[in-house]
Amino acid sequence: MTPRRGRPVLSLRDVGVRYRGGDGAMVDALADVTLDLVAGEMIGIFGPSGCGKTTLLMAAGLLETITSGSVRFAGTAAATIVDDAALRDFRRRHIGFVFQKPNLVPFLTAVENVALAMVIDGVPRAAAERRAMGLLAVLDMAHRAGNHPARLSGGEQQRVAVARALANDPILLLADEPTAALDSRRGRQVMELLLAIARQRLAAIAVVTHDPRSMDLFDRVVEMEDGRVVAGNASSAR
Amino acid sequence: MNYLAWRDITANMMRFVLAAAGVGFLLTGSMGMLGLYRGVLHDALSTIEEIGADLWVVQGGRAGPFAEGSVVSATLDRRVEGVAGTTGVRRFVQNNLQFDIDGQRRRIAVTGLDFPKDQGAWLSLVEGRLLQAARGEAIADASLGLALGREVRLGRDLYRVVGITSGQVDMSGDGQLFVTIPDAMDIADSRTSETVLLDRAQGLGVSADRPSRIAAVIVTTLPGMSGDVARSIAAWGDVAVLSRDDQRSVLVDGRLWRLRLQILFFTVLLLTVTGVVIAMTIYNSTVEKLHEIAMLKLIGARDGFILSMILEQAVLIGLLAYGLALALSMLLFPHFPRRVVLLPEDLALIFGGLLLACGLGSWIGIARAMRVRAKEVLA
Ligand SMILES: Nc1ncnc2c1ncn2[C@@H]1O[C@H](COP(=O)(O)OP(=O)(O)O)[C@@H](O)[C@H]1O
Ligand SMILES: [Mg+2]
Repeated sequence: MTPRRGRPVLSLRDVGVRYRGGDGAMVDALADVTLDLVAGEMIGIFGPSGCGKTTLLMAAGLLETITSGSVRFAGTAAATIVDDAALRDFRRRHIGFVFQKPNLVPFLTAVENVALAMVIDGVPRAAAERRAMGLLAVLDMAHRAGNHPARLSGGEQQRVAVARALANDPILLLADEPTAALDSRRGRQVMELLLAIARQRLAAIAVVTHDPRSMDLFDRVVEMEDGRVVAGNASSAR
Repeated sequence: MNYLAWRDITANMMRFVLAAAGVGFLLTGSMGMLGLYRGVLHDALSTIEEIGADLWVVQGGRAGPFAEGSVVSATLDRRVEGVAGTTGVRRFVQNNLQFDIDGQRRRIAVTGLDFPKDQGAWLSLVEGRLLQAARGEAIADASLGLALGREVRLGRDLYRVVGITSGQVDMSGDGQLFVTIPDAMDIADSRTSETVLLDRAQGLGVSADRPSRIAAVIVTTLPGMSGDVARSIAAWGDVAVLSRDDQRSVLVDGRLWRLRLQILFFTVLLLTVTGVVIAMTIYNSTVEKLHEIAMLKLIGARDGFILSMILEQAVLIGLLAYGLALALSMLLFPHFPRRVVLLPEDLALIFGGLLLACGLGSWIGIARAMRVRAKEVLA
């Protein structure tokens, strides 16, 4: 799957995700969502709390079973990848995740956290740590590589998390409120970093955010409400 | 080793070391338990194995002096000697007695040697010499703590320790003291010379040197003849004959089987507790890592990676504990009052049990980890 700028990496067509709520009634967390994520672009997903943004990322990241519609990954129907192990293999090779919380393994150093994503893919430890050092350098974190997460600031932790998401050179990067825990200057830095990654590595990036200040960085913006895309250009921008 | 397993351990060193120490002590208990049983077995059998008997002639209808009381006539050896196929006969007595030595109450297994035929040549001496006199000499087991040349008063008379042997302990752990048969009888009866004279006057005791009652007669036979000899003697009807194997089984399957059952029960119990300790440790550390485990699944870790992380920690605790238990056993057990014998097969058995405990113990942790779903990270 070699990315080409502008080529769709992920295509969601009329995707619905339905949950059984606490009272037994069915809740449509996602309804009829059609969205393309294309190589080299970063899109922003906005919307009030509970509108289905996280659910959308989970469907895109093959973490959530969709109840209607289709998810195609670089032309391959995600529905053809059936078992959990195969989905995990697929995620490991092609998808990177960044969350609101860095979710770093507390007993691993920064460089080990980044290397971990490669080690679980069978990369020898030494090679993985070498490449992890390179990624941390790109993120301006090389000088903090030997520190445990507890000794890093929130922004530093989040940059380590971004490095980890990039470890296996994903063609799709999904970020769920990655800057929510950061001050605006640090938040802006992380966003700029993600945009640079989209451009340089030709990854397709989707960022869920509440922060309107980073609006200018997105190629496209999608607005959601009640599980539906209500505004924004859902298909490819150009 | 799994990338995460080792780093988790180094980050939570205290917990793992404590768990390993706890499991190690439990394993030391298991080793001690089995070792003690082997030791009792060894002590119980050593006399039978070493005294050099093909057959034991004991009281009729009884299982011999090691199982229950056995009393036969002191002249039985002369009858047995006449049976075709015998090459040697010796009289045997053994009594567990208590004496005050140096102001301490000591238990001694006083064993009679049929001097001069038997001067104790079958005992491996670590010091001194064999018996050379019909009266007043003794070979003492080192565990009795009697020094060479020491004179001890047992009953009425003084006995001089002329030789020291080691490892000659009876089934109950009493160190053996070897004296001549008449001395052994005297010590047992604490007979005064007056009573000896009285006996003689009444024609009861044959002589002071030939007490009227002994425990058994030990027989050696020509090669291949022990069956025939046993049958001939058994045909008399008034005595019973035991082969060396019979004696062994009387002890192992008769007197010691309950002990064996108990030891086995305690060993299984200890290994179960070991499993529970490992399970609790592993389960706790797994539950603490559930978020990281969900994270691992989300970034694509296979189940095998997560499983090996948990299992390797359990096995590492087990190995550490086993090493500690071995070291403790070798350090401590030699100082125990009873002999503790660590057999390779018992150690292997405990090791096998431990691995099983590790596997079962980490199972609930693994099962919990497998239930975690990747999307829980986002929730
Ligand atoms: N596992 C679930 N079971 C039931 N309802 C859920 C579940 N996950 C999310 N929901 C519901 O789906 C809707 C969308 O949730 P979510 O995607 O987390 O919203 P957002 O990320 O935009 O805040 C919410 O109403 C939420 O309560
Ligand atoms: Mg959300």
